[in-house]
Amino acid sequence: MCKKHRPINCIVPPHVLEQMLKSKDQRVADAALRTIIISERIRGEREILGPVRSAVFANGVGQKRRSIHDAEHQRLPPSLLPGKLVRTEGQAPVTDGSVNRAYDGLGATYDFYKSVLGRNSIDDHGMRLVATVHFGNRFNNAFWNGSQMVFGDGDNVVFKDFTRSLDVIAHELAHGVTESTAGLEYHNQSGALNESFSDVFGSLVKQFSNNQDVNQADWLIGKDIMGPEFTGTALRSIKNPGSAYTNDPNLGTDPQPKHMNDFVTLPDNEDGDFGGVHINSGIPNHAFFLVAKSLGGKAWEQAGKIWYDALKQLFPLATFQDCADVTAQVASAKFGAGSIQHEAVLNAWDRVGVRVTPPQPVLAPVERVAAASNGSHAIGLRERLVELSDELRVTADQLSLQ
Amino acid sequence: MKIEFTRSGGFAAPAMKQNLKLDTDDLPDAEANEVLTLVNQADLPALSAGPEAAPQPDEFHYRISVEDEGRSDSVRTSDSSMPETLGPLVDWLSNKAAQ
Repeated sequence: MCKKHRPINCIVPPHVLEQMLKSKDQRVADAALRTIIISERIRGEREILGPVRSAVFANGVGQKRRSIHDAEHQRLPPSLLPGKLVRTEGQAPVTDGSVNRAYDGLGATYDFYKSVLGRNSIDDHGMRLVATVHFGNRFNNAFWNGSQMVFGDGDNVVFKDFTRSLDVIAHELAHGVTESTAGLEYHNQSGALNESFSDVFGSLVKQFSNNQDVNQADWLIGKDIMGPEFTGTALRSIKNPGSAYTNDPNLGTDPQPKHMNDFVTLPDNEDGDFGGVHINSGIPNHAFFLVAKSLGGKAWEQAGKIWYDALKQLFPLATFQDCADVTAQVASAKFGAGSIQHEAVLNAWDRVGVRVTPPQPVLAPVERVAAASNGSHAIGLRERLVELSDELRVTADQLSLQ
Repeated sequence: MKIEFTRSGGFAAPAMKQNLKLDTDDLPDAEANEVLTLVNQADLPALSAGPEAAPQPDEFHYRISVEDEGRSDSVRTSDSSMPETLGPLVDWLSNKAAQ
């Protein structure tokens, strides 16, 4: 039945739009794209893009495709984002430094995922990287809105232009990667893990781009966006959480813990930072640093790959314990049980107060079910999830060979 | 008119929190007129309904409560879900809170 308030959906179903977008006739593809944009404005829903998103953004050949837009200092409502297109892939630099920094930052981030992790953009399907700069008036923030990055200019007191920092740009993009992998919910421990993965990959992109080893890297987040009044070193420190600033007139003191003993319990609402997602992220951040430090060399080569493989196995409500267990499993599977990499992961989590769950004896499926119903179901279920994802991957590989 | 404004969240959460309480009777006339116009344009009673969207990473969240002649309205919004009519009021209150 055709409902009046969703006319677009009725006239042209999403799967038809998807086909139209792939059309070799540019006029057909453009018409489909216009329909999607108009329908999104009418409905005011991001979800319309869901089914056709892969068609809009898909790019099988694995090239980077960036587009930078200018909000021209307006707070554009969701229906008007991303705003005026000012530089797209392959175009020469423009006179606006914010545009060029965003373009270069997206490029450096794309290159990191492609060459280090073999990932083709945020969704691993060549998704176009879209950023809006000059959002709002002296807007003191940068965020990921579920489909693109948004950068403010800062008030030039507390913060400078948010495009000035490669780790900030890569932090925002990593939220997109997390959304399309583990899907960590932005609340409590899963939310703090979401923030932590963004800080870790934010820093790794910068380290890779500058070709720095673990000792040369500053392990800081946001150093380049801090305004003239700021008295600390950066916004967060992965190396030493809680040390980034002390008694700053505007920001106070860095609240991040680096051990479970100092875990901060806050309400799961806006006022409580959804259970302290930007605060308790210090704990997994520090665990990552300790792994990287103990392995030495370039942090993205071993520690970064362990964390990335773990991100692909984690799930929306994962806890710090789950992250510890999965990173240990990944290190053990990748480098061998008892390898220096495996030991580094076990020791790092131990030092931040999370004990990795010892591996369970290998049971036949029937015994596993019995064990699961026998009180240890939490571990049994988690193992089963990892196992299932492994099984699925094998099936996928087999399918692609046929 | 009494107005209460809160901003939370952001890339630098929890350090960027803002809280503001004001009474337009205490403001200079020009400022009072400015904010009353923005409240009027925002049409808060029309915005209070609707389910709350899942939070997007690093965005700011805002809460505005307005009380006038026995009537009160309040609205919650965020950077990624803010209705167009509300933006100017949010920016005005945020600038005022920063002063």
